[in-house]
Amino acid sequence: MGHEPYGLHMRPAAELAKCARQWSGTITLRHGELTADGTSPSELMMLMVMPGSELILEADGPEAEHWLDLFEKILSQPNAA
Amino acid sequence: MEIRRGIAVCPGIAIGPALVLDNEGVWIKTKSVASNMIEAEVGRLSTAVFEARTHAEDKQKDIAAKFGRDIGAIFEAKGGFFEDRKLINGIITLIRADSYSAEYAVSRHVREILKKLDSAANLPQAARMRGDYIDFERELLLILNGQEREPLNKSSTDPVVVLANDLTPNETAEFDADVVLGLATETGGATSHTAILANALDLPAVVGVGRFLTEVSGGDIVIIDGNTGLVILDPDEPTLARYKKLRAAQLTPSGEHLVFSRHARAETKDGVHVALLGNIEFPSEVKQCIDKGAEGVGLYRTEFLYVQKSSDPTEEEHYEAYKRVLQEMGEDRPVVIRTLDLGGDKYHPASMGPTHEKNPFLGLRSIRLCLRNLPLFKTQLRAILRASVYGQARIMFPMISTILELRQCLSYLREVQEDLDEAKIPYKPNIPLGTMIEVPSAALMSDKLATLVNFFSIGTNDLVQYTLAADRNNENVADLYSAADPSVLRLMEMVARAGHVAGIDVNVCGEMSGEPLYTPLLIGLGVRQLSATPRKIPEIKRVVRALTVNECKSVARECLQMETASEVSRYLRDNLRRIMPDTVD
Repeated sequence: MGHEPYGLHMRPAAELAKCARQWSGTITLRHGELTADGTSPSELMMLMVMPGSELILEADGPEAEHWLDLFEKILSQPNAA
Repeated sequence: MEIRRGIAVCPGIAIGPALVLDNEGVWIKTKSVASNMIEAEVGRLSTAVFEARTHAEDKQKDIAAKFGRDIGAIFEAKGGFFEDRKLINGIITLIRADSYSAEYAVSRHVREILKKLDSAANLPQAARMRGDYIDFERELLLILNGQEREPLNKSSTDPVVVLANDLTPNETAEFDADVVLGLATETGGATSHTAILANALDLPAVVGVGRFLTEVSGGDIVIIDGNTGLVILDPDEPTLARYKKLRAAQLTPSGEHLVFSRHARAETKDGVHVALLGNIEFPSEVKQCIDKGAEGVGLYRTEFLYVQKSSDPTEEEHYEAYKRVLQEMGEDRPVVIRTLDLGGDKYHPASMGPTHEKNPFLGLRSIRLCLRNLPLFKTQLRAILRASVYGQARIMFPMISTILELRQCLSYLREVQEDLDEAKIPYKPNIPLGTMIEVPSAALMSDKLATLVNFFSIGTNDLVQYTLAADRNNENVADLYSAADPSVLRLMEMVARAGHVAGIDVNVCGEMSGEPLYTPLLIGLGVRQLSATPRKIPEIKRVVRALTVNECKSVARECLQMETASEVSRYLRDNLRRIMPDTVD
């Protein structure tokens, strides 16, 4: 799925990772060639997501739809930058 | 192997393991551990991570309680790294794969990440992320450093090459000459404090290298070539071998001259004596002054008493330091003690706390600061006077910019003398008094100032900076900063003339007097005393002995008529090449 976040930095990365750790499924984020484990703030930051660049979220596990929504909400918060 | 170029500020070759000193003073002392200690290192790391996480949580709760949850969330985010299994596992992998110490693995891993970030220069959040990773590294290193470590190997006390973004005087003052082989910093210029300190300690040093600390971790072998300004990271075998050979042979050419000139008199071919004195920071440098043939100390900087202190030094501490220098120099060699030159880019007295001036170089520094803090000033004057009975002390006031300031200094000195008289504490009467000329206003008023003192000392570093209004450490305007600028030379000529008319000595201290290029010019301007880093004295003496005063006078006349600094530099270089072909490269 497509998404346009602000540049991804520490705070949203930590928030996303915290959320991802509560889920029994796995979430992977892709940015161009780079991938990140959703539970790792460092990997998320090192995706080096620029404002306006496209980010792909992949969720695998129970109630994946619900969790994807949640992750996307975190990434679209206005203070994500 | 990586080769970086910076500004060579103190010659010599240093080869050794790197000690990376970050701005917060966290040191990585050991690069690797024995193979049977690897799991213990992993354990140390895990314990440190756990501690850091707990610490971050406590801090977050504390902050949230004080400032609300929004602010607290920022700290919660920072704690996120300590729960990041991927990040921590990356560090553990380094420990296991390469037998790295926990500290080194943390630093190495973070530096790899920073390198990636640096290559993404247009990423708007890169600078913030950089700071987050550095905080993470520092937090872990601080905890790891605090843990008890088994004496795993002796390398933690082996001599090191110190690498830093910049060095504070505090850090440099802690250097033990037996442990520090050389210095390289990312920032700084030829006259920065690091450069002056490197010279004082006679350590090979290169400054202004630009960003390179992400390329190196503590324990990596580094070569510092203080002759050409190269910093070589992780050198290959042939390079290492070549530099080891160079290091073994590094005492020439000035080493050869040393033998010849130590006992030779510093006088021109036509028999005019030019006194060569040493600049020192620490009492321990007296020995070097004497070894290099200095006739005295022309500038004793006393600010070092203020380093490493949470409170101002006592009168006794001042007294002991001055007494030691005066005794070791003996009755025959004068020692010019400069009163405190605190502030600006240098240390602040603990009693006044940090200042937040927008423009500290034009603010409350040096003598201005002393005149606003009389207990501080009088304590020092009292200590100098008491110590004066042990040798040939002279007192010099720095940064004088008006006659009024100098009059105030002299009257406070009289007050201190009267106090001592009353208490029947002995001191030498008629101690020669001098003022530094390092502000253009003082140079312009030097004929009036000359009536109040027994000598002048021209501080060229500040005089150049204030005359040309160019910060000596700011790369953007560094090209304006030149002691060869005709405007500076005209002021110096004015001061030399005023001194001559009043019949008082005119000394030059600062980088300029240690630079052979300027020796003929300074003698030509009428200067008969040069005070330089002791290391430079043999070379300057050799130049003096190759000159005649008449030649020098014509050099000065020519330079004073020139229009630009580069014209003067070129002329002086040609001139010196003619007189002493082997001195100019």
